[in-house]
Amino acid sequence: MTQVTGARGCRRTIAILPVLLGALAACHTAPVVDRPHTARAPAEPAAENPAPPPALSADELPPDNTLDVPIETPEVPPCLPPEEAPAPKRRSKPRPEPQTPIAPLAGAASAAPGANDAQVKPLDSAVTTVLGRKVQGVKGEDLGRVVDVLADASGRVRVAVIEFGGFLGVGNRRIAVDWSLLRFDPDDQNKPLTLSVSRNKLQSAPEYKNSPQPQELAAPQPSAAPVPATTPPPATPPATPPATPSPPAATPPTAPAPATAPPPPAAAPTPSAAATSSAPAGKK
Amino acid sequence: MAVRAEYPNPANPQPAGPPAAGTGAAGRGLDWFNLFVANIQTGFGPFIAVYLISQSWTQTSIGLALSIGTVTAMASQVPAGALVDAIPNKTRVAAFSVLAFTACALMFAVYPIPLFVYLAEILHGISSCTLGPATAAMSLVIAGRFGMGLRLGRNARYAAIGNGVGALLMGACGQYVSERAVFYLTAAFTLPALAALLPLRRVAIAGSDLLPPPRQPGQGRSQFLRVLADRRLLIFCGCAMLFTFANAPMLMLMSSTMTAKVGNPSLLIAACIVLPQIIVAIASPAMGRLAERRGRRIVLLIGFCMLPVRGLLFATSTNPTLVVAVQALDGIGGACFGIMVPLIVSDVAARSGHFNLSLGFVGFAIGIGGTLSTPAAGWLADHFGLRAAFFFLSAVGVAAVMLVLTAMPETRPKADADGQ
Repeated sequence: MTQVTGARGCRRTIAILPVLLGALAACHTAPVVDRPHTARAPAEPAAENPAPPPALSADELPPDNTLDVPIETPEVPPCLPPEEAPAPKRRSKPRPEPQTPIAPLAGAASAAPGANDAQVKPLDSAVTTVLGRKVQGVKGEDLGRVVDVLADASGRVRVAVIEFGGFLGVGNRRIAVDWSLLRFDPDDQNKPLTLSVSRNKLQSAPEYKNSPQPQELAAPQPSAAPVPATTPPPATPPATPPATPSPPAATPPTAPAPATAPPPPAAAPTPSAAATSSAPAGKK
Repeated sequence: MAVRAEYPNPANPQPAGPPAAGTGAAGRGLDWFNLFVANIQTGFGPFIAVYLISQSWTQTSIGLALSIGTVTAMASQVPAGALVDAIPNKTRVAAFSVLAFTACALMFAVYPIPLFVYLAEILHGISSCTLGPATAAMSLVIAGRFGMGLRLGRNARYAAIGNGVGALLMGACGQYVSERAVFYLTAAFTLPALAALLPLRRVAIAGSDLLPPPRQPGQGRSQFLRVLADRRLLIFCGCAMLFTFANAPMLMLMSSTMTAKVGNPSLLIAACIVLPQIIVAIASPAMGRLAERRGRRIVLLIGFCMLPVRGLLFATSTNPTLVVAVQALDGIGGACFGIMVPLIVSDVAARSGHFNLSLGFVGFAIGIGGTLSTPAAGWLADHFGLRAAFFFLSAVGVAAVMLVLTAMPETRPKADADGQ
């Protein structure tokens, strides 16, 4: 059964394959370069308004792609024998020791001379994979894992698909959650992401399907447009959001494809707001 | 169905029923073997997707891995059956299959990169297809044709215990230790499974003449085709396919609904998985006995009737308590079906020399039913609602019952090898 959902997810994922590849590569390798997580800070403000964080992600993803793909190649060959113990260990921890990737990078750069524009340089912030990250509620309750990350036509990360529930893989549910509802812990990248949505709300949200009109749990509409980049200090993340997601979630859970307000036409209000906010954040 | 004579098998000097239930060392070995194999197989279920997610696999790769597993299992059913037929020592086949499981589990646990995951999926698909027939063949060797019903009842009981215990252990392991640890646990379970085979070594070899390849009068191929074209086998394939089609998606549909509605879905789904196994463990021996005394059709009908009842009850209510209670019907259906598949195949083909091939053939039909039904039911639930999907599955269940009722002959062996 799971296989089917996986297959359904295929088409959708293909669209954002580059992003996923980057994330996958990030997990295969050890990302790298300790760098003060300056970029993380903006993530916090999401508490008040959903707009800014996407900017962060937009800033963060490109380096992921360019850097990690080359890194991956040196990593793979050494681990041919399946019994080899050390290799798996390294992989189990998404982000192991900060190995200095200089040497492999140099090799990779020479290997791909065709691209004139791309430059090899250290990531300017510590990054970790998002796929497979655990998600927890405000009170620390388990809300599942991130299984997919969706971007809109402009490449901006919009939605995280979260899978939760079930037992031994039976009865899992997938919910699309607006990216802005996820909060990253700037201090510990290994900590689960925090989703400021109550468990009940998440459970009763319509299941994410690869339909033409998928629905998502979105941040409250009102705050989205007007108050974008104003509030960097997060302070009270949990307080506001729990109440927020109500409007979109109100749509009937199992209803097939009622093209209601929340879902698809990405172009709605948020993008513009995000675009403006992304400008300052995108430093690279 | 009316025939109830219990004649000794003329061709087989071994006394029919009594000792056949296999309480000797070999029988007990087989009990434990079934238990541990069921334990192992729990780890290779849908949980693999959860594990790969935790390893940052993309949905595309996970879908590919699982598809590879499904396709391999489907494609190797029939060839694997033929292979097991060709190998005289079934115990050795079983041992190698279990060793392959060890390798699969370790590949998943130690080094889950795509290459090894795909390899493990292929290996697991193939070795599942050799293990099932080999186990059935060992049962046949130990119990003989006339004790087969009782023996299979025991098999099903111990497999159910293994399934239930395995689900609980691995669920707890995944929850409290790590997803990866589940596969180490799976690998660990292969050791006692191998140990359980030890007392079966000699039996299988000595008894292998119990299923004599029928002294090859004509060419092998025509014989081969004749077995597969047996009308009883074909009808039963149809029944099995319909049963699986109606049965497979029910728990999946209901459990994802539960996840949406219930406070602690994991616990509830665990109950929905484990309770039927308890029922199977309790009911299987009785069903096996019933099949020997009253014939196969009645057991088949009991099991198949559970499908529409269950579907209709699910369609009318999603009350968690009721859902768990209704899952008990799944246990009864599962007990009947699990026993009847190898039993009817042994009725039809045990003495043909193509027992395992026929079993693979039925397994193939079951695989088709299971593969087609999940997307179909999911599509229905998406577009017409959960209730419509359950009504549809119930209708398929009714069709399965009708097919058994109208077309499926009694296969319980009489004095002569051919049924009616």
